[in-house]
Amino acid sequence: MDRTRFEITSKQLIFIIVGTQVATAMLSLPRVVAAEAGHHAWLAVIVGAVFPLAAVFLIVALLNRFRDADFANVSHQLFGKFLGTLLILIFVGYATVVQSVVIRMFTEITCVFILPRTPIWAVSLVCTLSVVYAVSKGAKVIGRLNEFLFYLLIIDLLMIIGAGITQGTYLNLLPVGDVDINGLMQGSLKIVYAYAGCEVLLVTYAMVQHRGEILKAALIGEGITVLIYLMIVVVGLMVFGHEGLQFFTWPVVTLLKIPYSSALGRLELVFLLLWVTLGVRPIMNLSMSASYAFTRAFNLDFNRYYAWIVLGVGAGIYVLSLQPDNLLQVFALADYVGYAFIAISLGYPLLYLLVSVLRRQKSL
Amino acid sequence: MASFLNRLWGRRKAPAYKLPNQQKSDKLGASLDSKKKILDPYVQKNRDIIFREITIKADPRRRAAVVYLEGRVDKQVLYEEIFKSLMLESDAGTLQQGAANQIIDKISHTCLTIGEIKKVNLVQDMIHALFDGLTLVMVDGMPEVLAINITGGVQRTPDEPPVEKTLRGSREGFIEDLSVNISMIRRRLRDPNLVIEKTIVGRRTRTDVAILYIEDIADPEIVRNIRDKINRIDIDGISAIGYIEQFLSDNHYSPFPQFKSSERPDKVVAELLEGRVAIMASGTPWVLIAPALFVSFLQASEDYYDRPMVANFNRLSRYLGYILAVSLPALYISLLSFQPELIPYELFVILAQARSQVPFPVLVEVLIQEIIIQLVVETGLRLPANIGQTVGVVAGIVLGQAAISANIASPAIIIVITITTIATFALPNYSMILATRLIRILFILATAVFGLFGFSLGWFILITHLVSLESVGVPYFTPFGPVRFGDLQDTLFRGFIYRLKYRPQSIPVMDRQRQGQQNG
Repeated sequence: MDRTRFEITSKQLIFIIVGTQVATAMLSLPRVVAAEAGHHAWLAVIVGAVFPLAAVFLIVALLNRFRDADFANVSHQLFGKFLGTLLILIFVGYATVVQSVVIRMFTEITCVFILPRTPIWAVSLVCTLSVVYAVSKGAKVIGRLNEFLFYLLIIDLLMIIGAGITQGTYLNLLPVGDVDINGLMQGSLKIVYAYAGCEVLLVTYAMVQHRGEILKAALIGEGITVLIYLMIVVVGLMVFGHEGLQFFTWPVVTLLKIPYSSALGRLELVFLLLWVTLGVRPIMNLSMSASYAFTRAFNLDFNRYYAWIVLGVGAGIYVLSLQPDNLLQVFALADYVGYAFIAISLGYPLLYLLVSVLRRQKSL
Repeated sequence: MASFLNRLWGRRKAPAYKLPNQQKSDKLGASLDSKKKILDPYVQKNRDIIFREITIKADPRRRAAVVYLEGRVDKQVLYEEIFKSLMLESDAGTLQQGAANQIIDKISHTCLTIGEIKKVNLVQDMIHALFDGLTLVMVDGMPEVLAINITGGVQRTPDEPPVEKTLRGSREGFIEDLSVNISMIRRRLRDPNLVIEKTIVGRRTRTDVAILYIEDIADPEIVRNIRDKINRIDIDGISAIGYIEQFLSDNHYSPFPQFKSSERPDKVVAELLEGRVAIMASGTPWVLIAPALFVSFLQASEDYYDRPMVANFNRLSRYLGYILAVSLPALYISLLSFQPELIPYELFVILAQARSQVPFPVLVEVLIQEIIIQLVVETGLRLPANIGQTVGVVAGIVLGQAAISANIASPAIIIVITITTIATFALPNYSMILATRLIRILFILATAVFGLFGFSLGWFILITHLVSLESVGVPYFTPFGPVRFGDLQDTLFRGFIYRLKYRPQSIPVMDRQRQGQQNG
């Protein structure tokens, strides 16, 4: 197997984890969280981070027990050929559904803000195709791409912070304390959708060159994600207030419409220029993980079949992404994806761990 | 995309390289007549082969002959050092001493006052030596032939490089002669570790190709990779080094140059010092340098000759130039026809007013101008300088003034296309300019369909493509992807020379240290 095309560094793992999590969800995040948690939405971001952190610890604890930590290999060892393959296929199916929701969300935002008269299927198609192109190059390229795109993301974040500082007021964050526990918990559950993505670690774990650094890298990735979300939610609250946030579907984009420079026009321009690079990352990473897991599950030759599988996954994403009728359904689906994420990212490692402890295959 | 399609259809078989055809390596006969018989078919057909029988003064009974290609040899040397030495000045005492079967060595040792002589004893080698331009000296009774290198003939003298102009650098440029080119490098880089490997490419053209690298800096893996690939080339002939470039590159479906070419020795020396490998071919005044990184195509050697503050400014403006060259017309289309709300209102009004008389959609307008500019550039390249100028002026007037008065183009588009063209030619490397011109068209089409989204998508695909490229195994888009922070001080910026103590991390080398620690 041509494994060199699927090697990443631990540094790139950080960016893959950040890139899979931080994407379209970030644009609606302040609204979604503030709807439940009010002006304590930023607390919900921190509380919600428990889920991905637990997932990371569990996944690392699981895969550390295996010398060949390849997801497909581990599944086959623990559950046998048939059941293991079935579990992998469920994972691939889950990843495909998540991607289709992300790509649909991405398409909806694109159509609302950039291309109001272009049909959804066209935008979704070119998007899927460019993702397929990137993914067909292998994990190495995906790793490098995530690394480079992360720095572009920083440009976006700086703009958002800048807008927040100039337009917002800290009074919207007060009073601290007097927390509505129920709302906070609801908010943390809502935010889980935004944290979906750390389960790529299940597959990417085996690609990292230095295994000792994986836990650290994954935690740093999670940390960066939490920081970014915190910043966005705080800025959203500062500018609009938790009630004002409810008037905008994607408050973060709306936020960028406010500042106006005489030379560039609206700052949104810069944001939209970087839009694709921001939005397609999770699709790219998940698609790569799914295709890789699928190829490994059936032990297929990478040179011959990988590109076909990428295309197949792409076709699946594309068809699924056209299923919802409107934006409301997409948001509803996004909530379900959040729950599915909890089930997969916690359920899989727990199940696997349990079986591997039972079977005491520590030496394998 | 095409490489992806290829992977889809599994066309990944290794190309069927053959080793150069090996004829039967017959040995030469001893008698002069047998050698003459071998050469006769060539001599009869080719009037430029001179087969001259001579008598060696020291051994008048022994028949001898000198064979050479007229025009390939330095006649002065031929007459003085070969004919005169053998026919008039050879000393009977020394030549007739010892065994008769050593006479060929004696001639070589005592008669010919020339440096480069080798002995040839195979038919194939003799024929190749003759057509490679060597002068053959053969004597009766000896199964060996002397092949003497006195190639000369008319050569272009080193001149200022016509394409890579420089302000403060050396004015010397490479020429078509390989040995002169190598000597230019040797003169600038007197390191005994500079290795020059030579090989021959092309079954019929038999072009000399040299691989240059500094042994204790360059990564042996890269050198081996390049050497293997060059040795595997099996083609009837190459007429320029561009052939080799295409054989060596890993990604054929890419507009981007994966090898840097230069016609300036000072540049090549600088690259060798960074651990790169240079490839020269006789007949081309351009030298290939590998591995090449994307950023290196945006760097000029003046960056290192000027003061860092100024050089940094120049370099940043070149980066800006690249971005403009790729995206300005596309941005114009998307902002004007899709997202007018994003640009300042006053600006939009001006642009719209300028366009109000133009009958075409923006896309057509941009494409018309873009195509005309492409044609003007293409014309200007091949025409003699004085006619080219006329074309430039005529085209400028037609494009600029007449097109606007005729309402075929708006003044704004003229400005956009002009800025784009200027920005394109601000890039210091011609291969990169070609790539940019092609990519620009793709961007225009993408934005014409999808507006700003297409623009963003275009950049995403472009970056994906750049990140996926490799030049002899080195990631093409370093130090940006994968990111190497240490190298940013000599790529994005140009740091102070005394602070650049190490060679770039992006290129694997054996010896990273570049300066002593006491500097600065």
